Amino acid sequence: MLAALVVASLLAGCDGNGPTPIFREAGPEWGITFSSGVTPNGNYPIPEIVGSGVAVFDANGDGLADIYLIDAGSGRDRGAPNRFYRGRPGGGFEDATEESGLGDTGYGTGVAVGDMDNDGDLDVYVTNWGIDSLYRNDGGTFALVADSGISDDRWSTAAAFVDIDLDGHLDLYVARHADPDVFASGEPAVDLVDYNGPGVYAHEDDSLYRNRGDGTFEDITEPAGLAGHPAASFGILVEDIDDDGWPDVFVANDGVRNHLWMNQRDGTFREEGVQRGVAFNGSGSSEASMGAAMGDIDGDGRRDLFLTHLGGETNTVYRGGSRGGWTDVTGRSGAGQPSIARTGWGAELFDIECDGDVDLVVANGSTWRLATAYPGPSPKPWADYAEPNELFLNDGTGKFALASDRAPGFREEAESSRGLAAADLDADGDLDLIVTNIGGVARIYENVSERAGHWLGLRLMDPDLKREAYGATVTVVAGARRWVDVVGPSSSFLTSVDAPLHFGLGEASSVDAVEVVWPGAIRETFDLNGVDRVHVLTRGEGSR
Amino acid sequence: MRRALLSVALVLVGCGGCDDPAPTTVVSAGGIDALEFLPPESRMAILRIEEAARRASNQESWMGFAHTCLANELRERAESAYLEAAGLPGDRQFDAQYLAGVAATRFAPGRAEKHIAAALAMRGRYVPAHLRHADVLLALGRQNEAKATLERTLQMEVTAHALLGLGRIALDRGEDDEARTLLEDAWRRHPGRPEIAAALAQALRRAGREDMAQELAESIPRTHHWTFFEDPVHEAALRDGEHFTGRAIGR
Repeated sequence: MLAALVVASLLAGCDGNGPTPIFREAGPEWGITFSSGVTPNGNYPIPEIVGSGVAVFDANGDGLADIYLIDAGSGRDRGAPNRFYRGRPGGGFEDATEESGLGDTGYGTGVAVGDMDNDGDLDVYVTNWGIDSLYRNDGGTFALVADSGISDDRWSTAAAFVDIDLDGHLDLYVARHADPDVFASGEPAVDLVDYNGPGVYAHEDDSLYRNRGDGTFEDITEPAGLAGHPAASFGILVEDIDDDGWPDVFVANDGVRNHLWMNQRDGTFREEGVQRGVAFNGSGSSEASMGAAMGDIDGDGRRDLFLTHLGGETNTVYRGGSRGGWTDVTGRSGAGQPSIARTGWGAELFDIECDGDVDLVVANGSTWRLATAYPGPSPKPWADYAEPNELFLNDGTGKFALASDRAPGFREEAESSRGLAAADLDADGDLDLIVTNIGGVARIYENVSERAGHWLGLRLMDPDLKREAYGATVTVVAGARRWVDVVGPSSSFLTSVDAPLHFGLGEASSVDAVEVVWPGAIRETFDLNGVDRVHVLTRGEGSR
Repeated sequence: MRRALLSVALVLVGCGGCDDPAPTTVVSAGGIDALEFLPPESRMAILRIEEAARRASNQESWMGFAHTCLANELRERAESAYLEAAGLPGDRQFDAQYLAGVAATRFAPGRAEKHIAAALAMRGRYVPAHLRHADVLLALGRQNEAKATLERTLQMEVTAHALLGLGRIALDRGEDDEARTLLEDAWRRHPGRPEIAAALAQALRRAGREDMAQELAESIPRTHHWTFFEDPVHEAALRDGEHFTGRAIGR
């Protein structure tokens, strides 16, 4: 009997003093002092409740992750400065906003990173309620590009760098939601008593900007076929959905059908969300999609899609099929029902314990005042909107089980969480979390899970472009197991992460091969020597 | 205290063998009861009706309160009230048990499955209940049972709903020709339903009919919320429930 109890406790992750923690909130020694500067202006503009995101990337090429936190403010064009934290060699971070030049004072919402000028360092695009900001990186310091060619002052939410025409220059997809100042009826959006949903506002078209290759961009929204599809857009994912070597773009839309823009290989896109099964949920309803993440949840070698939604709707899990289509499998995923009481925003799929399957973390927060407040540190009014975040562990078959009690701070300290990024912030081989909170501090959660297996980090470099090959699809093979991931920084909600791909390998202590499909459908296979470290794979150095 | 006792009672009558927590009638942290989203005057009116049902304590009054909850999207509260009604003497046991399942479908499919199965044991010829049962089984990932249920309903009555469900299952299983046949049949019987159009567009794409798929996809409204095709018991409940002002904030 005693033995049975011990076994049961081990299986449940218990050590007799409660569940063994998976994440632990990082203390002040980590050096992140950011606190959201959003100030309610009393008129409930929708950007306030949408919040703002975060980027994790290596700004100065020192091999350490840096963190860029976007801040809002008190109204359109009245933003609080964003903050940039440089990774310290000994661990933790230090505020380097002033010397970096990234203290953008727009009313910030989202962020995208990517090397737009192919000079080997990562540039930054900030989406604002007002004109967006493009920053060129010159060895770790940034300068605002005054003549980028992007001057649209409509509110933008997420953004992603993507080479849509395979000319080697990263173009820019910018998601737009609605005009926060005007109702769909044409009346000014005033005299509100709480935040409105997207249905009452006039939705906007997203924007697509082509990189001319000289540091400037031109708006190609209309010739690319994206005009005339207004939607309240949030999360962006870039993947090669149909394996033709060209990047396609998925956009999570708030309350209207999601968009899946299939690249037609001629500079245009065709929207195919319905016929590929991701426009609506399985019962045919449009949902209030916020954040998006892709990963191979069930280990079948195909990419599955996870979307976060408004309270009253489930978060939705779509299983990837064989020909670039998806099926809603929320009911059997384990991730649906626990989400109905929450409004989800940022989300990531990654292998928390390196046991070989991807797990799930979700940042939550209501868009309306809750009658019963959850305990947490948020100040008023944000305390009224705070909800606990959630963590799910994959049982290895694609079914998730709630394990939020193993991430005490992440769940119990309810806040109005929005941006969520997963990255190895302490260079120990597992992925940590950073979460942004409206009206609160940004929190880092250190991964303290017991390592259940080996891991592998991969960077995929294109030497001709001097940058990482965004859009490359990578398959790691070890025995009968295959893990698939795609290079690219855009995921979650208003968030951008440029970091090595991370594969939890479980018991596999070596890999047989790494198969890479580079943009343009060029295939190479690489042999790797050793796991539990990051490898750099260079285009042209594999076998074809 | 009354609420606490009711909650305990519902735990006891709750859901043996399913993963869903038992329903409660209080707006609890983590609950999804939408009472909190209603304006104060609507909230007070609903609480008054609840109190009246509690005082009368008969099946009819609980049914009336349950209908009002259902009509106002207070689904967790509606489920509880229908279960109260189902436990009281009267001739509406089937309706009460079935509607408890309808109310719970979206947020607690495990409980909904139990409720609807119990209702079907009372009246096995009510086709919409079988269709709902199949939907819930699908939501629970019990695809084989759902398929068998839908096939049984086709023996009773051929409906677009059943054909759609079977078509979706076929799509999920990669049985593309079968899916297309079923969905085209559903579309013929109920043209214009966005749910059928969306599924048929998937089947057409897989069949290589990409232009037809595109045309069908573009015909679907940008915003659409699924409603059950035809269910007289549910429709009557919605008609009978007193409607109050919707949420103070729009969607």
